[in-house]
Amino acid sequence: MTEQATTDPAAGARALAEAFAARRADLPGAGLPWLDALRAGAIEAFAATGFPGVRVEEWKYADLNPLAGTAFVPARPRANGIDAGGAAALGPVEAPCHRLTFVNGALRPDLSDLDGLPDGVTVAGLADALAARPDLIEAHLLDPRGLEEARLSGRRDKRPFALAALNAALAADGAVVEVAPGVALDRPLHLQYLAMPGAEPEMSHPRNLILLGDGASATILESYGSAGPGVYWTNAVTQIALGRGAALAYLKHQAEGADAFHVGAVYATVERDARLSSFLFASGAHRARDEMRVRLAGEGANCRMDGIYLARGRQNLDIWTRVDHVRPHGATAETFKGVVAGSASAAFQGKIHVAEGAARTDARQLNRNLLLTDTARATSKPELEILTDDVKCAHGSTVGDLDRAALFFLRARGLDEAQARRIMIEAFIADELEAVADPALRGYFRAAAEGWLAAELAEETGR
Amino acid sequence: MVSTPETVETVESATGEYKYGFTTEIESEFAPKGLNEDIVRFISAKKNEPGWLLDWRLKAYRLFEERRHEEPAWANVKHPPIDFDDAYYYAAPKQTEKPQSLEEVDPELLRTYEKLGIPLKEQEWLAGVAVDAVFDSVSVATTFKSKLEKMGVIFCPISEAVQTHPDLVRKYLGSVVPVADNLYATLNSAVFSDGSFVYVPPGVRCPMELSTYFRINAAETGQFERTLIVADEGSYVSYLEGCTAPQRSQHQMHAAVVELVALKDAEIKYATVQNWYPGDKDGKGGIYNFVTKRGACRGANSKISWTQVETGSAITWKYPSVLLQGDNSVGEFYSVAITNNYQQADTGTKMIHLGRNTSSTIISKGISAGHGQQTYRGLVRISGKAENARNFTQCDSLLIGEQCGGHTVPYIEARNRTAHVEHEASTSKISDDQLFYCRQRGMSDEDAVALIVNGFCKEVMRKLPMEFAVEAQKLLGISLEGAVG
Amino acid sequence: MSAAQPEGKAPMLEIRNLHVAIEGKEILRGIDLAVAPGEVHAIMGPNGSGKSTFAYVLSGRDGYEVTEGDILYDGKNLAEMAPEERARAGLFLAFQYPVEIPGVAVSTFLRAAVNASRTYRGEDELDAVAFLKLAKAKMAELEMDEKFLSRALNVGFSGGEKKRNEVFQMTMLEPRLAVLDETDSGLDIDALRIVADGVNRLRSPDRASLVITHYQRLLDYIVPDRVHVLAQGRIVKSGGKELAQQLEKKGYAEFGTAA
Repeated sequence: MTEQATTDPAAGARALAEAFAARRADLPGAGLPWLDALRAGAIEAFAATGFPGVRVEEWKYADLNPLAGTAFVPARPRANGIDAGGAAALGPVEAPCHRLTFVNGALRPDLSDLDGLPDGVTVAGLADALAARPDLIEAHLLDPRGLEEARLSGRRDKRPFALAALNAALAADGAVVEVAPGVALDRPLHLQYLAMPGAEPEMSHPRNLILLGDGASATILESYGSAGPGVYWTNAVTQIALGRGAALAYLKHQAEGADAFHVGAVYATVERDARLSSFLFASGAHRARDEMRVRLAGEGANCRMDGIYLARGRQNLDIWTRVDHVRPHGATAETFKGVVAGSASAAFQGKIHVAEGAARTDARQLNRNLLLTDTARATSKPELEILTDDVKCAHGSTVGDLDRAALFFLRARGLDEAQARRIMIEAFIADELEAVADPALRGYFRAAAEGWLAAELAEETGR
Repeated sequence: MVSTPETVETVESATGEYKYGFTTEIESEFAPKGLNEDIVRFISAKKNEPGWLLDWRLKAYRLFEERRHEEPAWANVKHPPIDFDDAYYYAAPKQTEKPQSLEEVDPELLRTYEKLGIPLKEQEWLAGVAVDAVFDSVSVATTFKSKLEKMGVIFCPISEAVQTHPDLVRKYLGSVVPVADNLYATLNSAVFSDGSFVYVPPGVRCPMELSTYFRINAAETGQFERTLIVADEGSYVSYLEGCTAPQRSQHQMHAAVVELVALKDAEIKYATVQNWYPGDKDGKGGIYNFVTKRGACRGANSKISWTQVETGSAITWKYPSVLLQGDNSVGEFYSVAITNNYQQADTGTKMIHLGRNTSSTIISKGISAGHGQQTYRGLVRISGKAENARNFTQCDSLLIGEQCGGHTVPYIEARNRTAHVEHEASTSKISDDQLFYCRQRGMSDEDAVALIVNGFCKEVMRKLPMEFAVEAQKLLGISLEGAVG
Repeated sequence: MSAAQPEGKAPMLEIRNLHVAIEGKEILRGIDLAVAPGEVHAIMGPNGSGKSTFAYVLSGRDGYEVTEGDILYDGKNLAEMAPEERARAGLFLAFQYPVEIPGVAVSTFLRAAVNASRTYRGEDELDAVAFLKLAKAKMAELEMDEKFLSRALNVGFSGGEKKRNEVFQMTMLEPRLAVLDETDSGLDIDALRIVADGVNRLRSPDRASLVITHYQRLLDYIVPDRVHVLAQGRIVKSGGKELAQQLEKKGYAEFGTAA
């Protein structure tokens, strides 16, 4: 880990505001009055509050000081080493996908593969879309000036959205995906973000828009990884809008480099009778914050959120979710499982908010954590805010080590301790992988989990 | 205890003049409104406290002054900022005459006493009727007191303990809830009025619930109660605070502090039934109840249980907690909280596991009706050295009606892999089917709600001292009047 | 189609041209029925004919709207009485699907119910000891394990246990008009016999029962005085107990399918 950290987050924030001032004229869409105003307002919003610190309840466990204290320059394009075949090989090999590949946050059409995209599906880079169809972006891009966290106490807080505001100010590229009403995307679409770090710490701020019309359906995999060592920061925001009756399977793979910082926020709106099933697999980065906000805006809207987070070494993984039920007959099923090893720490905070008009809501939340070493730390905070009575809501949370009785049983059948532990940890993870419906994609994540586990167990026995 | 003129002189000469010039009224029953250092000195002088305690209060007061504008803002309760200067910190003047008999008492209040099944004599005392000194319970109290004395149990007001057992008080006061813990605890440390002090010597099992005795003898509950209970090695004590009868107060804000210390092999059971005036049906008036309660299981194998039934107050803010320091120590929290009409409660517990093989159990039942808003906020923290810690938490919310709220915010922080922490929460309503079933068997809507709610709270109610269990069950029904239908 | 009028006795329950709707949809379309004290009437019919609606409207459940006609119980208009008032006046419904109430013991529930009725009638409430004595006696008659008393009401009960519990409550409350909604469903032959015995023990010149059932089997044990066939919201045929056996042989086909 390159020691560039100062300990002054305020200075970090100022530096970013200056970076904006220097770049604003070169950003895509510069000159569009609505976008200029939005970006200017966004950087002001960020500068007003800076990096959210531990006193901001929603960011309590994120520990962003090392991030705030590092000076980042905008990421530069780098060409070396990789071709389209190579990009494909880094993705789910058994699941042929359409693919949009970005290197250091910039779209690389030469590495992408959009052959055979069905009619009714449009996939483009954000920079291109701003040039070709600015009205579309204007209609959908979230204005950060309006984003506030609504607390039960009545207070409204802008601080939790500071980094999303920064993204709005500095976003230079991203993916814009539209699926027309009634159209089904035939194969998964892979939005692949690869980092090629340079000598200085670099940052990118991808902004993705995923828009499904009424009755449309799609599977989208968004992945973040690195093709080499080094410090860098990805500050991504993905917006998802599902029209009535639409269905989206959204899978996110956070596998950033070991020295990297990742802040990823997903904001989803689900209209009447639409279904969102999301799956997060987070194992990368030195410090990562994966945030998902889902608004079940129409009657009968449905959301399934699953995830696995694996932390080892000195990683700090922070998972934060919030589902808002505002109309009746909505349902949420949320399950997250974490495995923490080494001296790492992982936190899961999941909030389900059921508003007064959301009768007949059915919401369930489960978080289970496995601690593998004496120095691993897990925090769990599943939260329910219920403002009407005709609902069924429940949540559960467990933290612990592997069940000793079960371990003993396996050993009594001839397996040694290491083999027994491995089998049980695999079972713990595999159980949650079942949430990935597509078997080929499941295989992709299983391989990632096996890789992680192999590396961790090797290290443990090497101790 | 009223200070004699000699004491005042001594104090005055030692500390300089009282700034606000009311020394001539030292015989008076009260200090003027407002909070300043002289009021703190006045309180201490009135109680004839030793120097170390005055110093302790003053340190707390100065800390409070630094922080008085930082009221905790993270709780889910809404209230206008508290004007700490708009209150009497020592003995507010009595504004009403005492009623001469029950006939002069508000019939609404009497109706509640009837429903709770409180005997007539006790109703008189509770309603503040001017009774003669000859009163059945006085003799009961005397019997208890002599019994306790024989066993070496100290049970007296804390102001008395400061005089008779200063070393004990000094050793433990502020050792579990440090002065700087939170704003209300800081304020309480500066201006606490009185409260109970209990010390149980090694190996002694306190022969009766300290509830009964306390209830008969308690004077009007002060605004800043301070209670300290110390159970020495191998001892046992069960204490009950409060009563089911609705309690009015001249003060809007109550900020009590309760500290429990359990040494090796000792056990403390602390039960609370709180029914402070909750405000009217529109949410006007009502008491703010900000309480800091904490127990320290200092010794190995010690055990502390908190049981609470909270039905009153406009705003409740309290987190009875246990520090599980001793190996094999056990912490328990059982709670029923009701918020109806416009009541708000943000309540829960903190179980901090420090020693080895510690375990904690949390059972919280929250019922919300009308426009009530209730949050369970709990922390279970397993420190790095807490081998084999076990926690089980069950939080259930019962919501009645479309405009109330029930929220659950558990924090689970584990730093030791041998820990086992399990947390479950559920939210439900009283179903129309359940209500209809009860009504078809002849029960009124109100009886049906009371029955179902008591079933919901059963696990917690079972933990209350026997003589309160029956009253407490009736209290649940009364608190939810008007919630259904 | 009207039920034959009983000779002589004034009816305890008189239903005249009863129309009932649920959320605006008409389910009962003009029911006429008279039940005198001492009588047992069976209501049979295919699924969807309105049998449960009939039971619920008699007991006063929300959502069942009387759009036309009268229900008179002892000459009083039932529609004006709240469910608990009807119960205290002696009307009992044995539910087809008894609901669970966690944390509330069977004994706690039943004692509250028994005392509600006793208070209404001006009798003293039963204390715990007296209640327990009575309960145990009734449970013995129904061959029920005393452990049931401390179990939470219907929580984890099998179908048969729930039905037996309904009849147990009935024997403790001694209603004047018992409405049994498919009490036989889910019972094996032994349980059926025990439940029927319980119902039969309550038969008296002052009491009446409405036994709602799909199958004839129960009526071998609880022999009815009159049998009515409910189809598509109307009573389409009435007769003596032989009618039940005919239905067993021929089914409900001649009465048309459910609406």
